[in-house]
Parts: sequence; C-alpha cells; structure tokens
Amino acid sequence: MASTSEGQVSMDKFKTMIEIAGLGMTDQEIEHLKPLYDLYARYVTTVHSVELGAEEVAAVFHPEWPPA
Amino acid sequence: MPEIDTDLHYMSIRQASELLRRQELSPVELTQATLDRIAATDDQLHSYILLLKEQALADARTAEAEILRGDYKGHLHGIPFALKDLYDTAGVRTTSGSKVDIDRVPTEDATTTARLKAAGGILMGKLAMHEFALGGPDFTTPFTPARNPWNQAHVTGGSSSGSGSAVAAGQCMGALGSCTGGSIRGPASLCGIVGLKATYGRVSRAGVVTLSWSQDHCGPMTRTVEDTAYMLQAIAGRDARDPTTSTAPVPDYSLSLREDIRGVTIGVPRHFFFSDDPSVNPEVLSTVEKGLQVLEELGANLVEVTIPSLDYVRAANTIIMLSEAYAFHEKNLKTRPQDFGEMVRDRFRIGGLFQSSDYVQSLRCRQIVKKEFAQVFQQVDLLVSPTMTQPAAAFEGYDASSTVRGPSFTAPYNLTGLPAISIPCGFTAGGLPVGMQIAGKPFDEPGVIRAAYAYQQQARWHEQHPPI
Repeated sequence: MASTSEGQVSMDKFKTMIEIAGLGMTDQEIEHLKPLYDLYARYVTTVHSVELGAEEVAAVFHPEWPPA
Repeated sequence: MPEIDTDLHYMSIRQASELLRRQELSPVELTQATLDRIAATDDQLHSYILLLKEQALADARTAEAEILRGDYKGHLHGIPFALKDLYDTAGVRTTSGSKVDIDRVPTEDATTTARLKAAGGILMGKLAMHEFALGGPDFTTPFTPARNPWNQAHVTGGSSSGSGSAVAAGQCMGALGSCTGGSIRGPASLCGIVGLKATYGRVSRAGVVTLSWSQDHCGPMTRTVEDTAYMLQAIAGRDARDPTTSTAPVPDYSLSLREDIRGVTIGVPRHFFFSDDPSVNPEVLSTVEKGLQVLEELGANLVEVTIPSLDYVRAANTIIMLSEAYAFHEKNLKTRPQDFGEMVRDRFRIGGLFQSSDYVQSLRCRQIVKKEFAQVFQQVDLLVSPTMTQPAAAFEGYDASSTVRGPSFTAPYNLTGLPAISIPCGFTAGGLPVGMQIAGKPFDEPGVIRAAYAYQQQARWHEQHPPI
C-alpha cells in the first residue's frame, strides 16, 4: 500500500485505491471511510516495519489430503 | 454455597445432568423453565434472533422418553443450549446477524450443531451476534443488539453477543460462539461467564459462516468450567468436512476437573498485558492481579516472561482477518453493499484495500509470533492475563473505532491458534464483570481447563448471577 510514514494516504490516492479495488463507492461514502481507513493504515505500517529476515510463509503440504 | 441452584435456569449443566440422569428432573420441565426465563427477560436483553419454542419442547419430549427407557446419552442429554446465528441449522434460518443472509435457510447442520444434537442437547434457538462476526453493536442491521445482563445500558462485547447475554442471564445452559480475534472470550469476560477457544483444528468449522478461514475458531460458552469441558467433549475431534481439523485423539476433558495446580508454571507477559497503556483499564488489571494471587495460593509458580512480537500481533491479526473476510464477502459487497450494516461494510471494504504484500507480511509476522510463543512455552505450562482491556462499554457514546487504537489481549491466541479460556475473576466497582484469560500449548485444553477449574472452585465467581 502506498502510504506516508504515518501510514496515511492522501484523499486522491485513497480514491484511486478504491477505484482499483472496484468497490464502486460514492464520494460521500469515500469521505466517510477515509478516517477509519487511516486508523487501520497504522497496522499496515506496523507489519511492514517488522524485521522479518528470512521468515517464510510456512505452507504445509499434506500428501494424504483429502482425508479418508 | 449451595450445591444446587434453586432456580432451574441457573443450574449448571453438571447439576442439571445429574438430576436428569437420575430421572429427578424432566428435560421438558427444564426446557419449559428455560423458555419461561427467555420470555421474562428477552424483551430487555435481545439475546435471541430466533426462538425455536415448539421444536425445543418436541426435542425435550423425545429426550425425556429416551432417558425414561434407560438410553441416557451423557451430560448434554436434555440440556437446553443455543447457537450463535452463524452456525448452520438444517431447515432453520441462519442469518449471521445480517440482512444479506436474512432469508438463508441451510439444508445441513454445521458439524458442531449436529454433534450437540447427537449428544442429546435441546436447541432453544439462534442467538444475536455482531454482523458476520465483526465490529460491534450496529443499529443499522435488522437485528437489535443484545444487552449486558449485568447492566443493560452496557454492551455484551462480541461478536458472540447473544451467546454472552443468554448464558449469563440463564436463557440457556450453554451456547456456542465463534472467535477470530476474541469473539468468544470477549463477551464471556464482559458478561461474567466462561468461554473457551480451543486449539485451531480441535473443533470443526464446517457449516459455520466464515470470517477468516485461518483464524476462525468455534467453542463453548457456559457459566462454569466443567460445563465448558462437557460441551467441548461433544464437539471436539476430526471432521472430514473441515480439512483443518486435527486427527489428534480427543482426551477425556472431565479428567482435568480437579482442583490441584501445584507445580504448574504460569507465565505472565507483564510488558504487554500489564503495561501502563492508557487504553487499559487499571481496575481490570488490579482485579486480574488478585486472580493471579489466587493461582499462586493454589500452588502455581508465577514467572514473568517476555514475548516481543506481541507488539504487532493485533496488526497481523487484523490484516489477515479483513483480507480473508473481504475475499469471502467480495461479491456481495460489490453487488448489494446496502444490505450490510454500516460498521461491517466499512471494515470489509478496508479489507479490500490491503495489498497482497500486506497480507503476506502479516502471515510472516504470524510465523515469528508462533515461534516466540513456542519458545516461551518451553519455560512455562500456561500464560495468564486479563481477557479484555476494559469492562463492558456503555451503549451511549459507544465508539467502535476505539478498539482499533489499543492492544488486543485475545488476538494473540487467534493468530497462533493456541487454546485460551476466559473465566470470571471479579467485578469492577460499578458491578461489571472482569475476566481472566488462561492460555496453553497446542492441544493442551486439559491443562487450560485444569487451571481454570481450580481457580473457579476457589474463587466461586460463577455463583453470582446478574440482577435481571
């Protein structure tokens, strides 16, 4: 997500994100959602700031699946 | 303290089942008493979305006949229970608390629904919940939010809101909730009851409407720890309909109902759960401190532990939850957004704005969190903390976004999949319940139940009932 150091994005950028996501929101709905989005954006900043090193997403293959 | 509660509706499952087994109490009598209790209180509490009065009485008559002919099935036979309204019930409307699913009638029971019925439980009805198991009390959905039996001006917590209020107020003897970030333990804590989220894979999610596939858990909510053990016993175990369920054998949880925790080592991550964060209520902390003292007096060894990754658990839990929720609800969000309540529609839309890298980074964070918990659990048997940062908030001035600003004490165990229980551990000066959370190693529900039971038997908060 394109974001400032505080995790917030500009209104223009926010509208573009909504358009790309295809959410089909009105301008009024977008204005309403933006402050809440700014709150949640801090979570994005947080997970991208963690030193993850070589940590993998450990998907586990179960050759026996589906179960009998 | 009385062994048997004089009010039928406040009996524990253990108490009632003993009378039912001995044929000193009829399932019909017990079911009728529960219906009477619902009739007397639910216009104030709004715990039930759908009451199955005739079906419950019919099932109670069947149970009565079975017991009379000597076919007693066990602790849940003839016991009135209810389901959060996202558990599928064949032929019975299942709404998930949303206009989106207001006419949805499943053709098949959820596995857990079927297992409770097979154990002889009497399904009383479907319970209120926060829409699609997310957000808070939302007056823009078709369903009236449940109210806290201890103070009806206050919320129950959620998302298993009706499960919390119904069990606390004696409107059923046990309920199932579901939990993705704390939706079983939260309302259990705020309503003064017991709520258990077992290890991920211990209880089937088949037939339970999804919020977040990788973090959703199903579990019991009851007034006592032993009742939670009995309900867990009935629903735990491998289910071919849910490939994430474990093949690990299901132990006899009743063997954990003993009052001895001498020698058990309990870790307390004070740096996170007992910090001076302004969003954490000091009265909650002091109440849980007293609970820790009781555990110590019972013979547990308390040690302070550090889990640095707790600082980003909430971020990872939330991004994974909303991303998966958006994927599940995307079609309806785009074609009929007006059918969602405002609170959930906003949050699901935010889930659609996260990028793949946000989701993957969150999954990688989860791996680190799991490793740190595994490391700590090499030193300790259990972890104990407050369940919630605050007691139940008032409806007036309720700010759903306030939960985004502070830490979550329950989310670590959804992100890691570890078992965790909330048990009552006291009240605020204003008379609102406070819960204590006990968490354990993967599939160590017996250890969690053992400590919770030992504490309950000593503290006996479960013997207090709300003023309604």
